[in-house]
Formats: sequence, C-alpha cells, structure tokens
Amino acid sequence: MMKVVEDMAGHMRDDHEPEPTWEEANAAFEAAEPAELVRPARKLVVVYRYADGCWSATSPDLEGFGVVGLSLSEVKAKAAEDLASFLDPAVELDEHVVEPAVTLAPGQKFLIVTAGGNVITVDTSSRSRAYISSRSLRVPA
Amino acid sequence: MASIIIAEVLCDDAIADKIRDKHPPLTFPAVRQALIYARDVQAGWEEDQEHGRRVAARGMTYAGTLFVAYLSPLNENDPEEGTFKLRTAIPKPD
Repeated sequence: MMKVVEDMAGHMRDDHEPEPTWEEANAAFEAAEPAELVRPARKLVVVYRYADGCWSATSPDLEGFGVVGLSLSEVKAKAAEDLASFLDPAVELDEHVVEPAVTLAPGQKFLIVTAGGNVITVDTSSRSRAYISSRSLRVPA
Repeated sequence: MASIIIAEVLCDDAIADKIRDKHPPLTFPAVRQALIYARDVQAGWEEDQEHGRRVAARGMTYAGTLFVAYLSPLNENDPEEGTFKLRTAIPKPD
C-alpha cells in the first residue's frame, strides 16, 4: 500500500512541478557527466505504395515522414536522401513495397474464385460493394 | 567514460499529455523516435537533488526541433537494461 501511495505522489509531482526553461535544461545537460550513448541494432520500416499514378514512401516508425515520386526508384532515392540527414548511420532500413490494388476499367469483369472452387463473376456496374484482396482476383483478358 | 544504453523509451499518458500541451511542437512519439533513431544524440548522467540520478539527453526531432529530455531507468536495479521512462522534454525556442 505504501508503494502505491509513493507512486501516486511521484505521478502527481510529475504533473505539477515547474518545468525547466530551455536555458536551464540545456545548462543542466552541459553540466551532466558525459557518457557514451549505446543503442542496439535498429531497423526503421519504410513502406512504399503506388496509388493514383504516383509512388509514396511512409514509415510507421517515424512521425511526419513522407515523400512522393513518379517512379519507385525516384521515391526510394528521395526517401534515402531525406532520411540520411536524420537517421543514425547504424540504423538499417526495412523496406516494404505494398502490392498495388487491382483497378478495373468501366465495364470490365472480374472473377472471384473461392476456396471451394466456386467462381463469382462481377462487373463494375454491379450495385454490390465489397473489398477483396487482389490475390483473390483473376481479371479476364 | 560511462555508457548509457538506450534501447526503448516509454512514457506515461500524463507525461505525454504534458509534453504535448506545455512544450509544443514536441510530442512523445517525436522525442522517442529521435532518441532511438536519430544521429548526433548526446546523453549524460545527472545527479539531481530532487529527482535523483537520471539521464539528460539532447537531440533533434525529425521535424528539426532541438530538445533536452530527462529519462529515468525503468528498472532502477538494472540501469543497463536499456529501457527508460521519459520524464519531460524541453524544446529549444525558435
């Protein structure tokens, strides 16, 4: 019980104690005992996607990161250039290219082949709506 | 020279809210990402009368904000474990 009370007191102190100014915080940092910063092997996930005629790169590991380009090679080069100025050189990129979604022309039909071997034919004028993995689609020539 | 191992940075919701509300444009995710992934992060041990032994780290967010962050080892019995709790982060004013 005492531990819980102490923890709650610490939690409340964190919320209400006065915060240092930048000058105070920076002076305290300069006065701190210097240490060698060690960080284990790290990977940064970068996801490339194609949509609406262009490629984009984003990262679930890095808030605010995003670049676009007309080709995959262009967007990869832009991403590498952008990240080079921020990332620690020891960080490895874990790159993923998302499979583009299948786009049908007006009037074009596609077949859905179910696991049981059934085939469903749907065209783009159908009133039904569904989200189907592109892996399940076979578009007739 | 002593070493500081930073493998992961955690944060209470209250601290994340404080950083977001009192120290814009900093956010906990932006500070965590900088401490883990960014180049040129510096860190040192600080003995504070009120807060005890803690890490002071200086780095820059992806958005370009220089900051000083204070962190405490999650497991005080094993400060080399590499997991820290973020206590606060102060941005350099524009």
